[in-house]
Amino acid sequence: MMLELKDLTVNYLTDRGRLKALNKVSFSLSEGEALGVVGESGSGKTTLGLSLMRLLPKNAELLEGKAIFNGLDIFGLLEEEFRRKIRWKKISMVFQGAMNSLNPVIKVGHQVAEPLIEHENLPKPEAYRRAEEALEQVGLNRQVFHCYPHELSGGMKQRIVIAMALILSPKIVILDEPTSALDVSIQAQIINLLKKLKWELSLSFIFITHDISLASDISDRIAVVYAGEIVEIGPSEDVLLNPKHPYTKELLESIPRITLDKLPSFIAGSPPDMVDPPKGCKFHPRCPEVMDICYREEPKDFTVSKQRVRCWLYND
Amino acid sequence: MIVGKKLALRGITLLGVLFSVLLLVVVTLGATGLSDNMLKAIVSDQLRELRTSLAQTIRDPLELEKVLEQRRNQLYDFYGLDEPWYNRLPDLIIRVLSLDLGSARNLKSFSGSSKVSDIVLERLPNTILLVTTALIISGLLGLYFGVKLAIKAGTKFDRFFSYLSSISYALPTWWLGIIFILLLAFQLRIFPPTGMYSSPPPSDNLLKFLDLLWHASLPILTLVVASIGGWIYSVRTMVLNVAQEDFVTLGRAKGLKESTIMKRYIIRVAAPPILTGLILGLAGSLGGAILTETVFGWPGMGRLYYDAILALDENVIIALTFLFTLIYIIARFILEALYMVLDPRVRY
Amino acid sequence: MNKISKHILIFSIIFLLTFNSINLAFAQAYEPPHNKKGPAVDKILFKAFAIEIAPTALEKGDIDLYIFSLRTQEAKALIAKPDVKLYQAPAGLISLILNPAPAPEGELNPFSIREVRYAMQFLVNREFIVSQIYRGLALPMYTHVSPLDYDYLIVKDAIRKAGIRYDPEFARKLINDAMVKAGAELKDGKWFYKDKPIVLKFIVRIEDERREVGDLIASELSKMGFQVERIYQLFGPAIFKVYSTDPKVFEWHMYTEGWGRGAVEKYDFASVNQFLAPWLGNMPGWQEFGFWQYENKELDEIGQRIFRGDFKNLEERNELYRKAVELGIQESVRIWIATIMNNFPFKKDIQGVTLDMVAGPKALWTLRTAYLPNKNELNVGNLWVWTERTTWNPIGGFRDVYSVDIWNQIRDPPLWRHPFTGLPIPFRANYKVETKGPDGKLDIPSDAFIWDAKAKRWVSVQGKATSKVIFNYANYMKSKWHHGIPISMADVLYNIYQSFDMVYSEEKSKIEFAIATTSKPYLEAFKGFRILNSTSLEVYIDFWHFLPDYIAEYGSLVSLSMPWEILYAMDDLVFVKRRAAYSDTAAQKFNVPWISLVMDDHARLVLRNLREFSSKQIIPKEVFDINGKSYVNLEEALNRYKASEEWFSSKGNLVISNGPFILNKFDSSAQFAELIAYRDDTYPFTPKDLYFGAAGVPEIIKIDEKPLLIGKENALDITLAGVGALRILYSLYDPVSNELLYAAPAKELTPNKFSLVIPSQVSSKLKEKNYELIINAYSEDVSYVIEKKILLQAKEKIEEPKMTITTPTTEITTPKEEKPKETREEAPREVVQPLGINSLILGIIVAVVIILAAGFFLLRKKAKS
Repeated sequence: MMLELKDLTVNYLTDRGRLKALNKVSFSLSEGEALGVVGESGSGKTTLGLSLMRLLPKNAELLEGKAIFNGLDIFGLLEEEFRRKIRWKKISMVFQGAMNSLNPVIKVGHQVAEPLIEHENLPKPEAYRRAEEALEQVGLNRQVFHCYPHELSGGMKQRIVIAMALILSPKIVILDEPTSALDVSIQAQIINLLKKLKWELSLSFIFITHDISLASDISDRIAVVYAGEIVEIGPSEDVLLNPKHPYTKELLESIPRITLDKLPSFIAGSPPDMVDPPKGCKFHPRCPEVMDICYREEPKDFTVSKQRVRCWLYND
Repeated sequence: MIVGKKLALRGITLLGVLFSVLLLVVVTLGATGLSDNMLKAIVSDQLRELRTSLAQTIRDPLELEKVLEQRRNQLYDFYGLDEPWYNRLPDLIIRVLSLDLGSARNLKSFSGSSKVSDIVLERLPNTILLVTTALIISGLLGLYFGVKLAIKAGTKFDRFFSYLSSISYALPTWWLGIIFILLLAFQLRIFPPTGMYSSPPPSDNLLKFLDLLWHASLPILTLVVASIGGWIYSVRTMVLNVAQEDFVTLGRAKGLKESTIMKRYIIRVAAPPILTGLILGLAGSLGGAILTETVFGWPGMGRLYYDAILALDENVIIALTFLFTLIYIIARFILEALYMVLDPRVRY
Repeated sequence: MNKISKHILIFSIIFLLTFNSINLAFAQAYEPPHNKKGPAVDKILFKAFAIEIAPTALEKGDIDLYIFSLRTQEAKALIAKPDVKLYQAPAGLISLILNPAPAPEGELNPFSIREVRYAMQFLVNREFIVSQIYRGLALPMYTHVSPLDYDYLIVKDAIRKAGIRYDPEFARKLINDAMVKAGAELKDGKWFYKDKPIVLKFIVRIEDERREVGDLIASELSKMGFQVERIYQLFGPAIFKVYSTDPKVFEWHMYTEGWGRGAVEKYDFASVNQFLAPWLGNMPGWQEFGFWQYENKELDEIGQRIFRGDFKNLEERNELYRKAVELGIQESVRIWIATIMNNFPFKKDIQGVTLDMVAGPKALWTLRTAYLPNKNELNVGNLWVWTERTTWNPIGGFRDVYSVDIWNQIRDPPLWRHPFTGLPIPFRANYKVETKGPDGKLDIPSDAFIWDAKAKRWVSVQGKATSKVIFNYANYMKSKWHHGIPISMADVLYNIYQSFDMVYSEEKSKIEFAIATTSKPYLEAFKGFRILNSTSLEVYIDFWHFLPDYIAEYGSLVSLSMPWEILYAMDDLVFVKRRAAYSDTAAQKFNVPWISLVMDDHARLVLRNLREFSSKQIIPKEVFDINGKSYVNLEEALNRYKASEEWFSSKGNLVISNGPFILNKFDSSAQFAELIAYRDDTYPFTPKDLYFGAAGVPEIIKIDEKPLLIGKENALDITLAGVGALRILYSLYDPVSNELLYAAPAKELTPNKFSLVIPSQVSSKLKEKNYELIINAYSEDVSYVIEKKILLQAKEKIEEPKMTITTPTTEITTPKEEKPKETREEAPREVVQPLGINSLILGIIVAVVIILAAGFFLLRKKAKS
């Protein structure tokens, strides 16, 4: 178990009040494992990623939670220590919207090399050489080193951002919607690249996306997030073929399939307001299998076959 | 080489701007009849005065009229009214483009010369001492505090100083100037109220220079206080805009030091608009600050332009318009080149 | 009580009560600080301050006095200050000019109708304007002649006859009658002509109180049914609209004119033409070629006769003058409003202030005699010390007041104007006049000479001339120029030569065209000169005036303002080397500097000439050789050159003259000048000699008021106090019919006591009721007329005689301007107008409160939990 996240609870302080973004989120991640984190917009998945990187904005409150990485609770470290030892070195991130992730006035190669110079104190020529190698690793020509971001296509920029994330050889890479802004063919290329890197470098991924089918392609395990909670988590196959939580079921129903006759359905209702979420189970207003207890009490985590589900249906 | 060609193209465009501005001024002065009418009014006014003073010594009405007629012709000559505007004004453009600024009709330098170049050379240092100095101080302070406020955006510190900045921005320079004169010059007697030198001015050169600096303090203070708010706030805004971009967060995520982030990611990216403000501001400062110069009795470029317009001194108006526009386009050109260096996005 | 007199009375009293400072001035005698030759103080410093800052500068002691007029607002604020005294001089006149041109077909210009114009006289609320808008710092005017002029005595009856007063109802009647007759209709209280509303364009100047005056008049006119379009303008555009457009084009119907008050003449000949007669170019049309002209043959004829002196005697002249003013009132093309006062703040303790009737304390006199006790320096503030028009050359320069203000203390003119009477008087030269005019002629002696510009030498003259003046320059000759060289006849000769050569030399007249053309008619009158002895010059001129002082003034061609070598060096520079010019037009035409002896570069050019003359031993011999006698030898000349050169090395300027002060420092960029007293024993004047103080305005001490006995000869006794030759004119009116029953000069019993006689032929026509007796008292030696009105009852029988002691009714010294005669609109030098100090402080307090309040509010705001 490389990373064990326990009971992560995060709130945002906003003008309207306290927004409960994450509620007792827990999962574990092994080496070389890809965990897909799937959820709608506003479900809290990006917050999850930022929390692990300790890059939450100033108005975020981390109420509870431990992240044990190789025996060390990385949430307990001082900021400077985290920056020196963990951030980008052990855990790195590929942000949502690679378009804007690159500094427009600096050559991309230099940007890739920056962590080497700053963190590792490598002399520049060495760092640049390593950067060029990284670029090749993600399937780009070495010459791209000297380009500026505006000279590159979306796909190329995405590869660079990935190269940047890998430059210090981290153990875990958090990818937040890495392909959302790309067209489908490029998407496929990037996914293939990620798979290749995972295989070659024994990387662990936390793949955050709203697209469950995409997640299924690369993830070993899938965690479904709704309203700041992991409602179901388990091996991909099981979650996909044997969904337990009503939300997961609805999600899967909503995916258009070529082979089926019937039209995809949609989930009635809308995601809850996290400043004032519903009592009891947060999904109960939209749940087709809702029970009395769902209105009153927050469900606990239950283990069902290979999955862990947070739903009263599986109360035994 | 593309860069070179692009710059050259820009340069030519800017020269076109210069020419158009001069043409515009000439047409405004000439075709609207403004220049001719005003000058004729000045002449007729002088003749009316002359008539009554001549009446003291010339007792023959016919003789009086004859003399006045002669005087009128002279005055028309003097003011250039013997030729229509489209003959005399365009010539001024051509002359000025050959860098001959000509002579003023009434205005003079303190040493007595009528040549516009002499007058400008005399007044330009005054303006630079005042306005440009104030601009540099405001600009640098604005840069420092603006960045500081942007870093601490949202805190009480930021809110308080942003508020003060907007007050400074709103305060009219001339009002501030007068308040300072009343308080610091007359009440507290720390600074002299107006003028460039004391009466009598010290004879020793060093003392005279210090006297000048002492006299310059209040106007510079006024200008700085009045303009610093604007600088701080705009720098703050520009820096904040950049600081909220994703690549800055990513820079932090990459584990870069805060100071590196500040330098390479924020300031470097925000530099072009800030520099634009500074350089154009510097160029503009050479045009003087007419209200401040008036309130403090400081003969500078702003006052010169104003006086020239009031007196309809065509030579000076065209010469100064040419000068100011020239300064502006040079500044613009420098900016264009600078931009190309600073921002690779602009290179194509 | 006749309204006009009442108003003059009231405002005179208001003046008196508000500005007792003036009375104090004339109550004090002058104690000069010393009896040394030269001025009262050892040093004068001239500094420049903006009008807004001047009061504060005065209070803080940066300046001791300010010789540029404060505006009404600042003046009022200073009145209350205990250590400041405000001296006043009548500065300006304001009038309303109406456009009398006929409107084009289908339209009507109300002012083309005489009756409508006349009605305007009754629409202007002069009392309000003077007391409210000008806060008492003005006097109402009904014609161009005011009680501040001698000629007021002649025209007062005409004014009274017209009965001008603020009477809108009367005006309305006049207007209605005239407009209806012209075919206009009054619809809903508005005037229409041929179904179009009548719109009057009113050009209102905004730089001063004329703005409020314009607003007032505009609203009165609106009440009469006219639509008034108020066009607010600054100096330039206003001048253009009014004076540079054809009246027929109707860019304007009315305009608020402002005039600088010129030198008052005891017997005016110019103003009456300037303000009434079309020929002089100051009536609508402006004698501009192509414009519609306002014409009035009678006014032109009368005016020109007065102008040329075409009358036999004083009575004929006065009759002509009265007629002209009457016509002017009838025509009412120009409506007179008020005389505005200039306000000059002085430290109260300053002694030795002379108040000139025109210029107040600003004239030549004051700075020569003024001082602060226990101090020997005086700090004088002016609006500027140097502007671009400040050009120091005595030929074509000194075109702005700032240079003249200083120059007046550096040179002594031969003649000047008396501060109280306004008449020419000897200053540093004495004169004697002999004349055979207006018709006769004197023979010119054979040894008289004149400069022949063609022959380039003095030639003898023959013939006759109307008058001759003998000028005695002893006060000059016995003393020196500032650089130590004695003043001599050579300087006199050079003055004459320079004036003549500039006009009559063909080359020179082409170069300095302006000076030549404007001086030529003046020089034509000069027929010959004679040197009587080492100090006296005899001048023959074809000029006559019934007051010989004016003849002397006309003949005072020689100014003796600078030593001949400086003039010579400048002449050479201007006419031979062509490196400079005397006048601005010539400077611009030939692209050379307009020579100013305070500018370092220019002075050096002159210096270079002097050095050249020195080394090459050049002197203009032909100027000094007359009939074989030479007035300058080489040695003297070389000494002069050397002295001038030395002056420059020590002072840095070439302003060398002969007055009580020398120019020690002049710094144009610092707006600063320093004058140091010239204390040489040969200088003729001590401060006591030049002190005049304030004019003693006549006062009525006692009037023997008693009823008039019908049928008998009545005599009332009046006692006056005042300086000079006191006189009284009195008139008896029937207040109901406004008929003038009798007018005569009072009989002088003693210099102060007079008897007013109403003869029996007049008193027999009286009825038993009240009659008005108007008493005008004046002094021959002060240009001011007092008017007092008393009501007398006519009775059949004798009663106890009543004695009434009346309180002094008047007041002010009303100064006049000195020789530079400015009767034109002044272009204001633009200065930014700040807030008054009180409103400023209030503004600061309000601003600080707002800042603190908002600051608290902002900082309190937090995110809600």
